[in-house]
Amino acid sequence: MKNRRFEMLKENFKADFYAKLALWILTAMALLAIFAFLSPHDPNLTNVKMMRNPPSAEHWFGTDEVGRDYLTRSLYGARVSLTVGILAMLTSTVIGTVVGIVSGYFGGIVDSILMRFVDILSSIPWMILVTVISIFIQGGIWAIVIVIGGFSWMRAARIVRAETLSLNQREYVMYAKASGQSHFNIMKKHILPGLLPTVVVTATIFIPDAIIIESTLSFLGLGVKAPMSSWGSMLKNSQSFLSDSPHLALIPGLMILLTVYSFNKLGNLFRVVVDPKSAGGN
Amino acid sequence: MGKYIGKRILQAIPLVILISILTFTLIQLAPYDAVDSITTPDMSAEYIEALKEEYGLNDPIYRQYLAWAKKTLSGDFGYSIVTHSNIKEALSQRIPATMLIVIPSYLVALMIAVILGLIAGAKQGTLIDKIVDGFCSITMSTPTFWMGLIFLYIFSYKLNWLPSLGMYTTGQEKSVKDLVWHMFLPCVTLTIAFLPQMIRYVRSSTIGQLAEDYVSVQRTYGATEKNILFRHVLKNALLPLITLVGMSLPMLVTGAFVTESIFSWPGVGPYFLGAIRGFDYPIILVILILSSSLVIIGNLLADILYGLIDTRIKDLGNS
Repeated sequence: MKNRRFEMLKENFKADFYAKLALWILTAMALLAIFAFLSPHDPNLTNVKMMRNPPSAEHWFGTDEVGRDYLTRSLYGARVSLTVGILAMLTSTVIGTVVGIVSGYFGGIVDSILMRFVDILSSIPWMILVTVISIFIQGGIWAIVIVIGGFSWMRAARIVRAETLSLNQREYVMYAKASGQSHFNIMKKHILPGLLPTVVVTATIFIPDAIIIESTLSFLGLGVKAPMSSWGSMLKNSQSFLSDSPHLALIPGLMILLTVYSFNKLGNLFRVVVDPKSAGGN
Repeated sequence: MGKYIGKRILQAIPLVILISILTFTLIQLAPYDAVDSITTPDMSAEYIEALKEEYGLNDPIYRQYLAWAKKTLSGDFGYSIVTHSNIKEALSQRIPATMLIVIPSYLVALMIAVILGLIAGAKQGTLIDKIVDGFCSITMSTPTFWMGLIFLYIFSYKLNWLPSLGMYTTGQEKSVKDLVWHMFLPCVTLTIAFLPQMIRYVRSSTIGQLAEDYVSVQRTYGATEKNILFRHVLKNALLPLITLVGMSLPMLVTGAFVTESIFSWPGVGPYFLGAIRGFDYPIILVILILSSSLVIIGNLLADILYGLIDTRIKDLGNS
């Protein structure tokens, strides 16, 4: 079953030019972010003589408002943006999966309480919830990860719960229960593996969202703070120099666009394989 | 049907109450109270104590909650800590300003989405479908604020066609023409931001309808594709849109946060973000509870409207 899915994924991937492109873009972006330190320019070296220079042979992306090499800055920004995206995805997926499994497996009062809690959190518009939380939790990359990942697992929890409810009715789960296995073991050994495809899809689809949210929060001054910089905070700084130095605004935005597009593309590819019914819709 | 509506309303009420309790708890956690927001340094300690008594801050907590809930329900939202201005007055200016850009953008986006979604769905897999899909993929991957910045640069700074900031040109008399001119860029940005999700919704709904039996029946009777599409599919494909429209109700308040702050549009967004930066908690909490209530009401409306239209759900409520 799993293998057949994997074969299908491979075939769909091979047939889709844009999916291949997306994978190339993401690989390149990740490698550039990891090896950003190889850049000949120091990301923090300011140079008042060349403030906001347009792109040139020496500085491919030009320089920023204090003369730092913008390409190097963008690559270090990629580190922050990608790290936040992936860590927030992991946080959100773990919380969502645990809440969903526990809720769906035990049912009854546990389910009611957890799902009412999910209802409450989902009733607060996301943007409001995240901005409000961002004033309570501050400092460093972990704060942003917690703000984004810790308050966006509700959808994942609902999906996992629904899936768990149906797995709960499967014979092998019933046998496991009858044979007196512990609840933890049943959830871990018998339910979780069945949930895996759904969880992987939900997680992949969440990464691009997390990247956009991080950039929006940082753009509004509520996310990454100096001296750390992400694509969002670079765009925030570029706002003041928009009319004279548009390249400062153009470049980080294009990086976000490329990354988010690629993640979306691959996420859709996964989704079509796991849930073929959705293929018609997208 | 009445039973179903009643049941849904009964489910929504506890949710609103729970959110209000959550909000109230946040107020209690905050380092200031309502009296701090109206005191000035030259007031005597006795006077402040008397004010606290008057505001009921010495009462037991559940009575404070009830008093606060009563005040909020009657529209008394209190004062900002930072500017000491009346929150209700400020919101009564800012919510209409937000609606002024959100409503036209939403309606325009809805119209474009219906047309493009229907065409893309009917011609699934053709070049036009691929173009529409490409447009959706790209706009979906573009942060709204960046799109706003690019528009600002092109149309306002480079071409000098449109104004960049605010609602009216400063120093000029307020005119409708000036207002529309200022609305243009924020509205275009919002419309494009709303579009991809709507188009995909209409498209997949159209594809779903085209696979239904009644379409095959129509085809065997020799109805033209155009006829099938506009006479039958359109109506059925648009019904689920009601859910989407209902759920968009909170957008009237929170739908344009980022766009407003880029174009300095004096709506709820900049007001809220200013409050967030200054930790002006009375404002934050009012907007929190207001927008959450709108989410709940919006979902309720969507469910009820959908139930009224779709008879299968009607039966569910009666059983």
